[in-house]
Amino acid sequence: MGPLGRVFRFPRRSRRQIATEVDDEIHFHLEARAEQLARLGLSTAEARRAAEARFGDLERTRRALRESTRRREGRMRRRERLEAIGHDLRFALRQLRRQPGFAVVAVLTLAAGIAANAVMFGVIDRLLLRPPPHVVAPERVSRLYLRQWDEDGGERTTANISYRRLLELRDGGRAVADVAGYLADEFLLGRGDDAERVRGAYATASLFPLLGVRPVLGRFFGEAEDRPPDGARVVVLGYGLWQRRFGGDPGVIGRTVHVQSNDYTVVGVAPPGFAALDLREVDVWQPATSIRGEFGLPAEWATQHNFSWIEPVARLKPGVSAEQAAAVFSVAWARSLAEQLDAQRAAAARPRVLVAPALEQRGPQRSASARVSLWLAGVAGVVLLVACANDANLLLARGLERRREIAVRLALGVGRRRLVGQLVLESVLLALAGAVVGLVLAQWGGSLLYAVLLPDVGVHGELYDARVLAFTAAAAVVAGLLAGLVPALQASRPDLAATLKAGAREGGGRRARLRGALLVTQAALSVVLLVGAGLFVRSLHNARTVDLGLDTDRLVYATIDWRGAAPEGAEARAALDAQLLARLRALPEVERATTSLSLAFQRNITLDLFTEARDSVPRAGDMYFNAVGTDFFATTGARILQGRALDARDAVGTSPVMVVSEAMARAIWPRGGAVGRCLRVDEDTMPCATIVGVAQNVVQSELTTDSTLQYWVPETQRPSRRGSNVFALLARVRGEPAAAVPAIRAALQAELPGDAYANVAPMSELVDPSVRSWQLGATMFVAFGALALVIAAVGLYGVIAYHVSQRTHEMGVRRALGAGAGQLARTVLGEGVRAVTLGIAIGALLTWAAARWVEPLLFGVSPRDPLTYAAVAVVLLAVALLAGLAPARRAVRVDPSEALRVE
Amino acid sequence: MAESLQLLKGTLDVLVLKALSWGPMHGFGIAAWIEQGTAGDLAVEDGALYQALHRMEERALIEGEWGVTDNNRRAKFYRMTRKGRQHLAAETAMWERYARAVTRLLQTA
Repeated sequence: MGPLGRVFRFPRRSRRQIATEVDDEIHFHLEARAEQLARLGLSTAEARRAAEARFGDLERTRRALRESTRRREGRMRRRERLEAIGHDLRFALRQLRRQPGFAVVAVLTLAAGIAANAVMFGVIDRLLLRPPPHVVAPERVSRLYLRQWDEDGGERTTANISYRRLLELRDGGRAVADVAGYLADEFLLGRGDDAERVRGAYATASLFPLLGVRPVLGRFFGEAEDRPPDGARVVVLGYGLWQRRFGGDPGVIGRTVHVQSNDYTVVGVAPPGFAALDLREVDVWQPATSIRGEFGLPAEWATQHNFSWIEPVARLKPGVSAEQAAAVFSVAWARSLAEQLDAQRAAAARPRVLVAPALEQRGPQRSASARVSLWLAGVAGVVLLVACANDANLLLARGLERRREIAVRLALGVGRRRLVGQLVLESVLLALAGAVVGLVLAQWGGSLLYAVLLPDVGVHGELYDARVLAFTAAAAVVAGLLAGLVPALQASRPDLAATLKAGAREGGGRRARLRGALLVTQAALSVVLLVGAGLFVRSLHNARTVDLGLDTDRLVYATIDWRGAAPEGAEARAALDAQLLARLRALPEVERATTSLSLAFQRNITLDLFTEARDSVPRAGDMYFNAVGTDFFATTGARILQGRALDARDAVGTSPVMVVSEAMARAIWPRGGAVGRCLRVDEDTMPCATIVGVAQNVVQSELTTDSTLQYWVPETQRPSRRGSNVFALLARVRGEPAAAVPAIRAALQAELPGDAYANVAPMSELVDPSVRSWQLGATMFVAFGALALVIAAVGLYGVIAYHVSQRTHEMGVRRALGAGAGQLARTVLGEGVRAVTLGIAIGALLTWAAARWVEPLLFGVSPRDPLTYAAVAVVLLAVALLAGLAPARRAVRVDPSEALRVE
Repeated sequence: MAESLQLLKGTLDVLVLKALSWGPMHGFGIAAWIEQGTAGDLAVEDGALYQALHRMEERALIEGEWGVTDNNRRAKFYRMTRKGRQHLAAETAMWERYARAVTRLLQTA
């Protein structure tokens, strides 16, 4: 199409016009033919009839011609539209190139907002949206959770059940669903120095057909290999492990690998990323029944209930709803429980089965990190809104600068719709450029975030998958439209031409109001983010400074995986334990060392307790039992509040003693005087153990230590049938715990027989995951809040500076009339401060209203913490003043004569 | 016209393009040209010709534009496009090869 074609378009024709055109063409033909025949001597009427006869089916042809004309018309119109878009695109790029400074600021602020959203989408997608890989029809697959009420009236929900219970659920639920089970854990693979920790799982043979997964090599194990009491010694390798450790060798099938305590034969390789319903790829799959060989369980283990471990998975039959399935499973569980206990106690427990989504984080046991991540996703959205508001402000300012150009184009007859389209297209282009830059930022920041803050949910690398890219592109387009539409409508207002002619300097009151409103919005949203940041930072600080009763900065713990190499007999075992402890104490890195039967966040033991009078102790909650070596309290740093610690005096054969925690002392003897009393441990026939001391509360399984009721007895006096081995060795080290780990591990490993393996790590590794959600919240809220603050400051500066430049004339006049420098500066600064103050008020109200929902995510700080609010207000006002400073200086320096001479 | 030949598929397109190779023509002009050139041996229903014209317009082999005839009547004139010219050349060459081959075979047998 020529240059004129762009202005004078191919006229669009209606259906009627097309019909007439076709009729005209046929009419002309019939006339011409009739004339030709008449010349050969036919009468006019005969000629007309003959012409029509030669034409054939008139109606059909007419229809065909109309249709084809319409088709052609449509295609031309489409092509024209495409050309128009191409033209607009080139035009927009030219415009952006003309003002690179503006483009850079807009692109960078949008990039920051988009990057935040891309990162958070990546997390949310993995945790809550994306179905588990290789699972066929995942919407019909569910996790089952068992809920019941304790005798204390507490509600307990668990996914871990006994093998027998799994079979009973399977049999009871046959009508509504298939049931399988698995449990993922850490396994040791290989022997000696070659050993590595991998992710392993016990799975019933039914799991693989239930999920619909197919092996990439070999086969999965079958029902015959997974029969109690002992499963076959076969394993299926994860794809990643197969590649990493076996180089993807197909000859791996039939090879023998040493997993945990036994040798297994490889029978297959699972597809890449397969993790059943979990997030982290499983490296080794073992038959569920092979667990007997690993844990040394008795032959009748599969028919007992005292070992709750496996997690049930169900695939609902077609047409069965989750509620129906839950009802059927609940009945099955109630029956199973009645068999285990008695009918009355089973009924009192009100057993109920929850049929929950396949994704764990969508179920009842959602982690705190997942909840915080959802919040952060919302926060990322707010950051993007702030960036959009900023972009809109910049575009508004630019609309003013381009008044002349736009007026000229309107005058030339460019339609308003086309003009708005072009302006919005510019804004969308900016946002897309922002998305590209944002993805680079996201890649850099995202991998950092995933690795450091979300290791427990197993989100790894691979940020740039199609879903994240699609989301990012969509977010960019929406942001571009959001930011661009209002400024475009403003800029293309037809009355602009009139304003232009009058030579007005300001864009009119409405525009100024609009920009003011955008500023207020930015400030309000910044307040929301900054208050959130403040609250999470305080939570993290509080969580970090909780007195855990454990000096985690100095402690290293060690546990032993015996892998079948534990010495036979209690005496030999005790001798080895003593040898390990002695070795530990001899190390120069170690200041003190002790043993412990339980380990915070890893293993807790509860036993029955009886008073002197052999009544059972009133249940004030679970009371945790621990048997510890001498020096336990000095090593861990738990303070003794009354009486004495356990020490060398409490040797084998001496009269039994114990130390109780402060909370437990208060729970049993509210009026005090615990020291000197005695309690019977485990059975009412046991000798009564005298309480010799009260210690501070020590962290057990959650960070709040107030409710942990604990008591410690000397390892030498432990009821012998309880906990047959020392579970952990604790060492108080000199200097940095992480630095001492290798030496300690080497020393312990040297003492160990056979395949036994020493795990050694700083104690903080056990505690950190429980602080992680606040750490995540604090880091990300601060990052996002700072981002929003910077964007808002840039916006504020831009708007004020722009106003000043527009009002140079006015400033000059006021200066000439005798206004002081301070007065002018106040005028300029006041503008920004007013907008920000209003924003702070609105933002504070919003945050106040939202406080209820953040409360459960905080730790030791009220969501309406006045200190946080005040600090945020001060920061924002300071930013407003700083942003206005440079423009104010410029306003004051205006030379009156210069300003008045302009125009 | 029972004794006249039925057109082979696609032949009509080539004939139309050949007609237009002399210059723009309206539909009746093309019909008349074909009749003249074949002395009525080929049967082309006028309606079918117009459908062919529109189909070829959709394929951008020809372009239609309204104009005025010698005796001042409004008619739609068709013009061959560059794509049409290429199509004609290709089809003509193929047609000649085909005809030569068949003719040779029929004569020798």
